[in-house]
Amino acid sequence: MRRRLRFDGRTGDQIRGLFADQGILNRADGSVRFGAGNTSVLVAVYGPAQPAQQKKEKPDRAIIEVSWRADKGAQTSADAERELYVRRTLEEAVAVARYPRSVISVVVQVLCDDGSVLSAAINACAMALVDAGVEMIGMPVAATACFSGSGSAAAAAPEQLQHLGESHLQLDPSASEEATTRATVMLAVLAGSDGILTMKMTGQLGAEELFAASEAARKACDAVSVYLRRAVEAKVLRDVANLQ
Amino acid sequence: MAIRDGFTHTINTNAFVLETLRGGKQRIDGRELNTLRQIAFQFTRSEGQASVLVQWGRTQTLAVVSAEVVPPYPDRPTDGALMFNVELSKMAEASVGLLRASPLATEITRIIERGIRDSQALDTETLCIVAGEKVWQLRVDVHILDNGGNLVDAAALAAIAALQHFRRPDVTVSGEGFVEVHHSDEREAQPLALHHVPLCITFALFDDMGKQRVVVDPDEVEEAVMKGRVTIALNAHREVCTLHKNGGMAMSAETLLACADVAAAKVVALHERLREELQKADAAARQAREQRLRGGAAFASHTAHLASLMQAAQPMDETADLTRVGHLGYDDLHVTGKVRDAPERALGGGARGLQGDEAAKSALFAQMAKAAADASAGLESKLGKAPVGKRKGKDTASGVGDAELDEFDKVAAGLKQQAASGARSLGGTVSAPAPAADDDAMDSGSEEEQVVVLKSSFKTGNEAASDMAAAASAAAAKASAQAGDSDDDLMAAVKSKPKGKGKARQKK
Repeated sequence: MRRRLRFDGRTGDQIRGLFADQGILNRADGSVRFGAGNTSVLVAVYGPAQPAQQKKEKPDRAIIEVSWRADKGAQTSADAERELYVRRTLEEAVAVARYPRSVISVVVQVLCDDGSVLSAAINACAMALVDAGVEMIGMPVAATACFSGSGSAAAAAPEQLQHLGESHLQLDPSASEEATTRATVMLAVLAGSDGILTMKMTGQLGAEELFAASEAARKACDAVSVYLRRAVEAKVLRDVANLQ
Repeated sequence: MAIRDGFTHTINTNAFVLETLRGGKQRIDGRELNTLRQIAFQFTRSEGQASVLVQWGRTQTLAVVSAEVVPPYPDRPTDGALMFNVELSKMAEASVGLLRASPLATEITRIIERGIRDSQALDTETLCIVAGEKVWQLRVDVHILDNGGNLVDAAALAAIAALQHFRRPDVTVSGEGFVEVHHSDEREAQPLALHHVPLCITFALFDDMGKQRVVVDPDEVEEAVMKGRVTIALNAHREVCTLHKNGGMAMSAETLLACADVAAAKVVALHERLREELQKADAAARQAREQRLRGGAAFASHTAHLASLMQAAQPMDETADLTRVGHLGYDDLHVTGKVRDAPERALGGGARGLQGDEAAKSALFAQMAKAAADASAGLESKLGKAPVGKRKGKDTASGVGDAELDEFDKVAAGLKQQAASGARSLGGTVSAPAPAADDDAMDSGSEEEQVVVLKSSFKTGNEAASDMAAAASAAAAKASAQAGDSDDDLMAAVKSKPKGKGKARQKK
């Protein structure tokens, strides 16, 4: 793969800088403001708690409910779809059998959407659940990959015509890259394990390209999981130091 | 830290809050009666959008401003539109229901609309692109992220701060009316045309067995105990933009005027603080934009290379702070200095920028002292206007007597003294209660000086009893001026008894 620089100076296999502020909300049991580059989301976790309506509770496991709030505008069906993706991913990661008859409520507030917001949200949810002390089977981590360039000449922008036929895999795309991509792949895995929890693919891709994208995204997930671990450890150590 | 359901509102909480306010100097979180909580801002600017995260004590709100090119309303072809939407997010507190627009969210939206839009703070004619066809529609979404009390002020502050931080993209109109919106990298985006900056201040009214107590900026505990509230929005020119008192405990017009005066001083200081923060944020945003335009190496340093991140074998730097500064933590929000008298544990212990907090507080207090001085100077120059009237049972509306001016000077001096001592905030000098606070405490204070003669006539070793008796007789002396005082009968009864000392002590 030729090393081409993207508009912000990254190469195709570089993800944006990550930051996390943990425990910033006073009411929520767990909260984190997580960001990759300019994309940032704030996730709050309430729970496990008693559900408001008794008919909602399940006798053998906890229910996870997710609420996705966009930064501007009313809620759309795309937001409802993202809620579903986050919920199903978290249900595999959280030890729901440990909290029967409870509800774990996760609220995702998008602060700034500069691309790859769904994977940022899943990473943020993982940290927020840790902050809330909810028992988990593993840490869900996610990453997004996209293919620059378009498959057909008709849809190509003028500056892309010189690279017609070349498709470059880009990890952690920003909003402008997502807008001009021909396919996006979002991958969520449990850190340290092999299997794929969630994959969301939109666009047009060949099978080998899909495989390459998922492998690259998996490497990015490993990097993100290292960061998550470091951030959580740093916070715990800092809290311990403040207590003393 | 998690306090999921807030606190439990009990009779004890009620009694504790009221008893603390009775002292007239402090509130349950250590603030003084006229002090706002700590406020922190975090600004973000991206293409066609600006947002600000406001921390007001434990309340956190997020305001996002975005713009869209739309056709105008047919009856106003040259005006742009400004829309507000306040949402009480499910993360604000655990018990927010599924109803989309709760009444509280609607009320806050209306207060902000009246304060900002209806007071003509934004010149909507500057939002016009092609008359009758294309105008800018600004949309302000305010999300309440954390409910720590007094959501109105925090939401209004976030909304106006985001509007000031927002930059409208530049447009070019071609001959056929085709509008081209330029990216901010091509052409620099423009700030909005704001005539003035309205800010809201909320007061809480408490009912302490018939006496009314007023404080500024209630937190969630005080909100649960209070019996009424009034929100006043003003700008830095001391003009009232909106006033919102919707039911709740009745208050006199004089108290309302006193509140407006305190709110004006607060708004002037808050406006100054907001201006400084906006300047810093604007400079940072411009710098980021220039870095991005130059591109390449400057920006790449912020990215994380996969290989370096995956070297988990490297020893962990224990002091590495992987979180950003700027967020107020638990220590910053709690004034512990007054409760415990240890001077070395003042103002939130910990390693979280103690000096920074002190400096910010003293700057704010210095501005408040200046505002109080300006307020008293302004009053003297505007003879003929009704002053902040202390209710003495006399007609204070007509004319300005020397007694009133002296009274106001005393109160303003008290404010200044309080502001000067507030910077240390450790016990400090005894300051006079704020004018919006208990009228009776102020009056009985002045009355006590006048009854010094009476005090010496009580021969007793117990000073407290004699003080009580003196206050009792003073209160009884002005019983005719005070209507509806439930203690009057008690005081009259106490005064009539020859051996009233013991009884007075019991009564108090």
